[in-house]
Amino acid sequence: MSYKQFNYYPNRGDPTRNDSFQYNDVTSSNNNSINNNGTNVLNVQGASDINPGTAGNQLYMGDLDPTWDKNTISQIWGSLGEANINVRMMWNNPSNSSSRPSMGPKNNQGYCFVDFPSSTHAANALLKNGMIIPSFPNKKLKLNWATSSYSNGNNGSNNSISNGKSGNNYSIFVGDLAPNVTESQLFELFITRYASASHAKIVHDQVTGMSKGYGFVKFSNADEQQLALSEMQGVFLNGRAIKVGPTSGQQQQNVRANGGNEYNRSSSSLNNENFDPRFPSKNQSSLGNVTNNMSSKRNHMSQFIYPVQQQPSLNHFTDPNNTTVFIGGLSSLVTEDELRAYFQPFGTIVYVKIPVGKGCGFVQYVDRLSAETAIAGMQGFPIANSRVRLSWGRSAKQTALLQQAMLSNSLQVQQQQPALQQPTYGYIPSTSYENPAPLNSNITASMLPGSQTLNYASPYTNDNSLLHESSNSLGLNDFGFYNKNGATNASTASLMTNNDSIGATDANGQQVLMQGNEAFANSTTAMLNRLEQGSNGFMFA
Amino acid sequence: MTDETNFTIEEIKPRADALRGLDSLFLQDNAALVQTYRNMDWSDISSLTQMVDVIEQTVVKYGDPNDSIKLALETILWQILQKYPLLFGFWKRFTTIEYQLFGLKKSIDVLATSVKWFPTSLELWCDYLNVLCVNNPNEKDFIRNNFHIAKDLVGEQFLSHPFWDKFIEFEVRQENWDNVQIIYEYIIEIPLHQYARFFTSYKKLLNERNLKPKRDIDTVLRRTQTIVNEIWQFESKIKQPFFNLGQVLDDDLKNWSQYLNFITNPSKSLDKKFIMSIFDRCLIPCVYNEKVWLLYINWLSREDSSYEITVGIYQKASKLLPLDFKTLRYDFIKYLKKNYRLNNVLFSNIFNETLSHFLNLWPNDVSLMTEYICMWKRHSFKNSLDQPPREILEKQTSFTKILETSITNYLTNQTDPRVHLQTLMNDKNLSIVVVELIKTTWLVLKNNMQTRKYFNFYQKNPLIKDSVPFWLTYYKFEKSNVNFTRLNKFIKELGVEIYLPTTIMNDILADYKTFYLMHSNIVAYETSTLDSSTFDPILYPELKISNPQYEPVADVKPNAEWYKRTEWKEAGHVGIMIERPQISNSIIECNSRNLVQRPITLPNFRNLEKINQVKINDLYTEEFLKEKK
Repeated sequence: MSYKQFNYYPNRGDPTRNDSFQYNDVTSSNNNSINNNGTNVLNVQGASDINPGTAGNQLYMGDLDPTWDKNTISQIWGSLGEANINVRMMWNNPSNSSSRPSMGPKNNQGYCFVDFPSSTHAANALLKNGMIIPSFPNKKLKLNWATSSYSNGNNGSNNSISNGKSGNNYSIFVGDLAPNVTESQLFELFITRYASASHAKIVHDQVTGMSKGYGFVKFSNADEQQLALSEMQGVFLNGRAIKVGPTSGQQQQNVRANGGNEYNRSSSSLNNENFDPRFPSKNQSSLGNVTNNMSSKRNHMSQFIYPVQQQPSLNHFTDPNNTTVFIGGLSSLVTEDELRAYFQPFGTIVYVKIPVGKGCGFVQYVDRLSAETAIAGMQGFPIANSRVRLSWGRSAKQTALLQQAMLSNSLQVQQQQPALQQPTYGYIPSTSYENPAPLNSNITASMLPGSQTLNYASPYTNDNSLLHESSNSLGLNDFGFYNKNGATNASTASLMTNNDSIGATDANGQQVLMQGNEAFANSTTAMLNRLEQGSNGFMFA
Repeated sequence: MTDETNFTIEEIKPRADALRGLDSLFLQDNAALVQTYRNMDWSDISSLTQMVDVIEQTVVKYGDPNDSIKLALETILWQILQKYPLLFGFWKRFTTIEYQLFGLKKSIDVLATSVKWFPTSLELWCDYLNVLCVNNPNEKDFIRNNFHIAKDLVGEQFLSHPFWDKFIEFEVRQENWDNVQIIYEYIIEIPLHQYARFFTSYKKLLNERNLKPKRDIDTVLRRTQTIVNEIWQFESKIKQPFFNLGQVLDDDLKNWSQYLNFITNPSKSLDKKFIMSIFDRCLIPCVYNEKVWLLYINWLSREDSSYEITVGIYQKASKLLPLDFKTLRYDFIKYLKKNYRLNNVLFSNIFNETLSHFLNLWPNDVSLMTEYICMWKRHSFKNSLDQPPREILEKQTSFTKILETSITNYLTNQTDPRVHLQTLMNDKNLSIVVVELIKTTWLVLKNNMQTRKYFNFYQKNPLIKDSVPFWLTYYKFEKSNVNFTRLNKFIKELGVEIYLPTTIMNDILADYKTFYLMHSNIVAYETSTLDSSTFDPILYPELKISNPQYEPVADVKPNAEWYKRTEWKEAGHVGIMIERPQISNSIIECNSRNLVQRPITLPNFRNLEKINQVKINDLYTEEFLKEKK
C-alpha cells in the first residue's frame, strides 16, 4: 500500500518512541492510562526500561505559527538560553484525501514537543509559560509537561491507579478515514461487529475543524480489540478502506511481547516501517500468538468484508419520498393538459405544471411508485417532436423557496436545501432502502394506480397481495410489476364489459357487471369516449 | 345611439407608447409624467389615479400646450379608458381635461363617447344631458332623443331620480305637458328610491294642470311601494355600486346573488326591463364575474328573450370578460349552433366572427376548428332529402376539394385570405382539417383507395405525425376494414414510431386486444405468431400498456453486457445510476478439469472502486434552477 499515513506516526525516526502523545494530547488524559493498560496487560515488565533517559524532560509547546519548523523553534529556545534541545514537530497530514499529493507549504499542527537535556531544564523552561516570544512579539509561549513524558516518568507509581480508574480499556488506531466520517459512523461500524466497542474518537484539526482522517476506537475487551485489529483492515467506511493498527504504545508492547530482537529492530530508525500499522500482516503475525486462539473461535469474516457504501446526502434525487418528476427538453407547444395525458397512466397526479418559457415541466404524483414508473417509462419519449429528458425535481413549494434563496444570496444550491434534513447517522444502504418500503407499501395499497380495477375476482389477486406484502424486503422494483398487473387486469376487465355490451352475455361478463364498481365503470366509459370522440378533434380539457 | 356626434377621440390609434415623438425638452421638464407613465401598473387603481393626477398637473402647468403634447395626454387617458371603460370618474376627469385643452365642443364629445362605452352609467348620462341642456338649449329634438335613449338604459335604476328630475325639468321648460304626464305615468311604475316624491309631484301636477290620470294611480302607488320595500333589503346593502379594480367584496357578491335570485324568481313577475336594469347594474362592479353573466343569459333564455338581446349580452360578455374565462364563450358557440335556424345568414356570420376571435385568443384549442368545420359544412354545403343524389354528391365532392386545397395551401405556405377556413388554420388544428378531409372521403364519398392514400401521404408530415385525431381515425379505418396486418403493424409502431399520449396508447392497446379476440380466429392467430416470432397480437398490447417504449427482447440469448443496461444500474433507485460491484470471474470454471490441478481462484471484483461514484443527471438544477429566463 502507500505510505500516506506516515504523519499519523510522528514518532517515526525518533529513537525514543516512548509516547502515545497523539491520542493523549487530543483526547482526555485518561486515554493515557488506556495505553498504559495495554502495556500492562501484556507485559508490565520492562515498560520503565524503555525510556529511562527521557522521563520528565519533555515539554509540550503549543500556539505555534503554522509555518514554523524545527529550526524556528530551536532558534526561539536558543534565544531563551536553552540551546541544547531536541524538537519534534507535529506536521499536518498533507491533506486528508490521501489520493492527492501534498501541495503547497507544509504546515505544522500548531504544537510540538521539546526535549530538554534534563528535567530541571524542562522545569525551568516551563516557568517561561506565557512569556512573549522575543523574535515573535505577537506570540506567547504556551508550555506544559508533555503528558507522555510525565506519565512515563511516573509509570511505576501510576499503574495501579490508572488500572483501577478506567477499568479495562483497549484501543486501536483507525486511519485513512474519509473526511466525512463522523464519530457515530465510526462507532457504528465497530459496535455492529464487536460488542465491547465502547468509544470512538476522530481527531479533528483544531483550527479548521476538519477531520484529520484518523481516530481511535476503544474496546473494553482485549480479545475483541485484537480481533478488530485483524479483521477490520481494509473495511470500507464511507467509500474508503480504513486502516487499523495498534496505538503506538501497544506497538512497542507487541514488540516487546515478541522478544528482544524485534525490539532492537524497532529502536533502529531504519526498520521503523516494520511496526507501522500499514503492514498488518506483519503485525498480525506478531499478534498471532495472542489472538489466534480467540479468532479461531469466531467464524470471522475477514476474508469477505462487504464494502460499505456511502450514504449520499439527502437531496431531491435521494429523498425516497420525492414524487415530483422534472421534464426537460419539453416543446413549447405542449400544454399542461396534453402533458397530463402522457403521464396520467402511471398514477394519480397531484399537479402538472409548465413554467412559462423554460422549456420544461413538472409532474407531481401522489405516490413514489408512480413517479418512478413514469421516469423509467417515459425517459426519452418524444412529445410534440421533441424527446423529453426526465429526472427528479422538487415540489413547487420547495422550488419557490430555492429560487428565493438564490435570489437573496447566490449561495450554492446544494447547500440550500430547505425542508430536507441531513441524516445524523449514516446507514448501510440495504437498510436505508428497506426502511421506507413499508411506508410506501401502505400508501400504495390505498392509492396504487389502477387499484380501483382490482376488485374483481381473479386467481391472481391473491398472488398480488402476497407479492405486495413480501415486497417490503424485495425493494420497490416489485411494485412496478404489481402495477403493471393492475393495468393488465383493467384491460382484461374492459374486454369483458365490451363483450357484454355487444350482447354476448357469458358468465364472465355477468360477474364483472356484478362486481364492477363505479370507478371502474367510469374509467372504461372514459376510455371508450376517448376512442370514439378522439377522432373528432381530441380535447384534453 | 349617439352617432350624430362625429367623434374624434375614438379615432386615436392606440399607440404602444403615447410619449413617443415628444420634444425631449418637454420630457426632461416633466420627468414625473414620463416616470409615472413608464411605471404604470395596470392592475392597480392608485397607479392609474396617479397617472391622471399627473396629467391634470401638466395641463394646469402649461395651460395651452402644443398639439403633440395634447395628443400624448389624450392618448394616455384614452388608453386607460379603453381598457377600463367602466371607470366613470376617469371619464369625468377626462372631460374636464379636454375642456381645458380644447374647449367645450370636444369635452361634450368625450361625454358622448363615455355614454357609448359605458351606457349603463347614471352619472355619465346625467352629466351628458346636463351639459347638452345648458349648452345647446335649442337642439330640443336631439336632446329629447338622448333623454329617451338614457331612459331605456338607466331610467329603471333604483337611484335614477336625478335623471328623471332633469327629464321632467326639460319637458316642463318646453311646457310640453303631455310629455310630462307621459313621463310621470312611466315613473310611477318604477320602484325608485324616491318613488313617493314623484307621486306627490305627479298629483300636484294633475291638480295644477287639471289633468286626468289614465288609471288609478293609488293602486299603482301601492304596488310600487311594496316592490320598493321588498328590494330595499338588498339595495341598502350594496356597498360598492361602481366599478373598481380588484376583487368585489364577498358581502357584496352575496348580496347581489341573493338580490338576483329574488328578482328572477318567477313568482314575483317583475317587469322584465326592471330586472334587466338590475342585472346591468350588478354587472358594473361584477363585470369580471363570469357567473353573473351566465346567470343573466340563463334568465334571458328562460324568459324567451329575443335572440338579438341574448346575442348582444353574449358578445358584450365575451368582449369584457378576462381571457381565461372559457365557459361563457363556449356557451356562446353552443347557443349559436343551436339557434342557427332562427336566422341562417346572421348566425353563420356571427359564428364565423366569434370563432375567428376565439381562435385568436386560444390558438391551441383544436375543438374550435371542429366546430367551425361543422358549421361551415352545415351552412355552405347543406343537403336535403329532396335534392337529387348527383347534386348532393357534387356538393360533398366540392367540400372535399376545398378542404384539400386549403391543406395544401397551408402546407405550402400560400394561404388564401379570401377563404375563411384558411385564415383560421394553424399548426395545431391542421390535423383536424386533415381528419375531416379523410373522413369525408372515407365515409361520405366511400372512396377507400383515396382514403388510404391520404393516410399514407399525411402521416409523413411532422405536424400530423403525432396527432391523436389522425391516428385514431386511422385505427378506426383499419378496424372497419378488419385488416389485421396493418393493425398489427400500427400497434407495433405505437410508441416506437408513432408517438401518442400514453393515455391514448393505453386506450388503443386495450381496445385492440378486445377487437382482435372478437374478430380474429385461432388459425389467423397461430399463423400470425408463426410468421413473426416476436409479435403476439394478444400478449403484446398487454405488455405495452403503461409502458410506451416497450420493446420485446428480440434476442433471447443473454446479453453479455446486461450489467450495462439502465434497468440494472438504476434498479431500486430510478434516476440514480450506480455501477454496482460485481465478481467478474466466474466459478463455472470449477467444473472444468482445471479444478483438479488448481484451486478455485479468489473472486475478482469489478467496479468496487466505483461503489460511491453515483451518477445522476440533475436536469432540474441544470436546466431549471440555473437557467436564467
